[in-house]
Amino acid sequence: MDDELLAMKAVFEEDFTFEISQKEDSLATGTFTVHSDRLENDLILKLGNIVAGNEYRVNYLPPITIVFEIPANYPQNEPLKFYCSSTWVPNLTLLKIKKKLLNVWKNLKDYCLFEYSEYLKRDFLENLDICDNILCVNGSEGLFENIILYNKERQQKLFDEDWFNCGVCGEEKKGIFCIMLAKCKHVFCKECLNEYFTLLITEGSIENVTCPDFECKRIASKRQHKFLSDIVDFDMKQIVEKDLFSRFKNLQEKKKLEGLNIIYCPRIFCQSPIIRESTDEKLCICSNCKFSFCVHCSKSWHGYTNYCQIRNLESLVNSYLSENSEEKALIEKQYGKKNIEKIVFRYQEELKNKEWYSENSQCCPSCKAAIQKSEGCNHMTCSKCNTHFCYRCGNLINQLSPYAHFNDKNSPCYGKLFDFNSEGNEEWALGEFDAEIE
Amino acid sequence: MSSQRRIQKELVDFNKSPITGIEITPEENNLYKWKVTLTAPNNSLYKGAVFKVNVEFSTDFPFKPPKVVFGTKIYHPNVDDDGSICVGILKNEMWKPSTKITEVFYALLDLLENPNPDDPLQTSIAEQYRNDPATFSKNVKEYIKKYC
Repeated sequence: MDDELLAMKAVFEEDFTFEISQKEDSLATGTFTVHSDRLENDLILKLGNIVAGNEYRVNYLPPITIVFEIPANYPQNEPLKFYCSSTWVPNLTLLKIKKKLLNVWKNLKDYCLFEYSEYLKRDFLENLDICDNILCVNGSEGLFENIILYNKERQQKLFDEDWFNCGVCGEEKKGIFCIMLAKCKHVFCKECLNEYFTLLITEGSIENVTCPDFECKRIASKRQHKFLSDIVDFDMKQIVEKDLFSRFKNLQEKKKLEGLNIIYCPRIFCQSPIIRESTDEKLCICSNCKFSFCVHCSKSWHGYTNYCQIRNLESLVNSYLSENSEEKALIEKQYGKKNIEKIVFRYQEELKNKEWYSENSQCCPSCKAAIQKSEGCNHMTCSKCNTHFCYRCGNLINQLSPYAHFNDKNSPCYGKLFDFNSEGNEEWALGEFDAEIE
Repeated sequence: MSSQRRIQKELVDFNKSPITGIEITPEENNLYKWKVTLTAPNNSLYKGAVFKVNVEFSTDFPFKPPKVVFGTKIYHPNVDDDGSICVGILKNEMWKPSTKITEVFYALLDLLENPNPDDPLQTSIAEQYRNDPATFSKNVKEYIKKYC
């Protein structure tokens, strides 16, 4: 029997099958499925013209299969008879690949199945429609999903077969007994993770439920007030028993609520947790460094009667005016209901003022004073700084020949010495006129 | 028991790549208690001193940190009269199961080189370390003469 076939079988196992041929002019027939190597760069899949929502990253592409027949004169005088098949590569591309593979034999005139596998592992990518790491998939949505599913399964399969050193027990374990944590990608054996998290959840110290890695930063301790675990639910479900998982979720929820009553000293060098006796109390005194501060603005205590200094008026007013009643109540508590109402009223008034100004006045180009024209032509003289300017466009006008601006054919205001730019203005002018008559 | 295997592994790893200034002797018949001698680094104020340190593992190790206590009196802002030590990585809420025991020893050596007056166990010593380094240094030397 053929040495090449036996060697290939030994290397590729279930991916390589063959049968000794009964025909005279051929030695054997078989199929050879070649899985691609891990791609150097992630490929982004794109289906047709759709980009958003249908974009996915993959590291592995589904295999290409060679169906072959070994002729009697192979390998010296005759090439392998074969065709390529694949669930996802277009036929035209498969033909291109076949041509490349035939060239491989032409150059070698020797056993070439192994060389074929090398080409199909990585180099075949040169025949695909890839641009800027985007691979255009021509076909149905089902095909698209299959490629993504294959990628996932392949990743899992290779992970399961790989070996990892668990940083907790220090032992080498096969991937199938390990979990890669979704957020930080650290790998530990399931046994250790289970033992660790079971202990922590049972005794209730869930703030320690984080990646066991020594270097892995603790998100929980970095973020004040908000409790956050860096183990996602999907991972946790695989690690601990069902009842422990629900206990974990319950405790997490409880912790979040408790968090409202625990406040951290705002002094950077202190940051001690302080338990608030009541959520209504504004004054808080740090038990460690004795700093007295306001729980709302974290600034040193400003007394019960003074409200917090407003730092970002616009966003404050906007969130007060938004529909969220909870937020509204919180703002009222922090700044005082009457106070905030006054502030919002003033803010809105100011806003209306600005709007009115922009609609009904023109700014002097030199002193920026808002000037309103009650009547007359568009040649204005600023009542404040005597600058001559055009009321229509707001540009400076040469004092010596002021009307050139309106007489020059190239000027945007040509022939517009007299015009009212809005109806509102005219009505207003009329109203004023009526008042004068009375 | 997984704790026992991990402790054994720590010992093997330590013997493979020992740290200068650290010597470990586990108690006879009890792997969970170690007697450790710590030779102060030459570039520290404690130069020349050799301290006894007791390390005790619980059966929850490595899920809970080991207890590390100075067995020799030392004049240090982060070590109290009982020998208790204030080191971040040994605190319950900071401990990570993948922390190697060598990392703990490195932290101890670092503590001798760089006392941390911002997180003191002994505030008066911390203040002295900050404001009156000469007296601090004198006291350190006296303690070493007396207890080491």
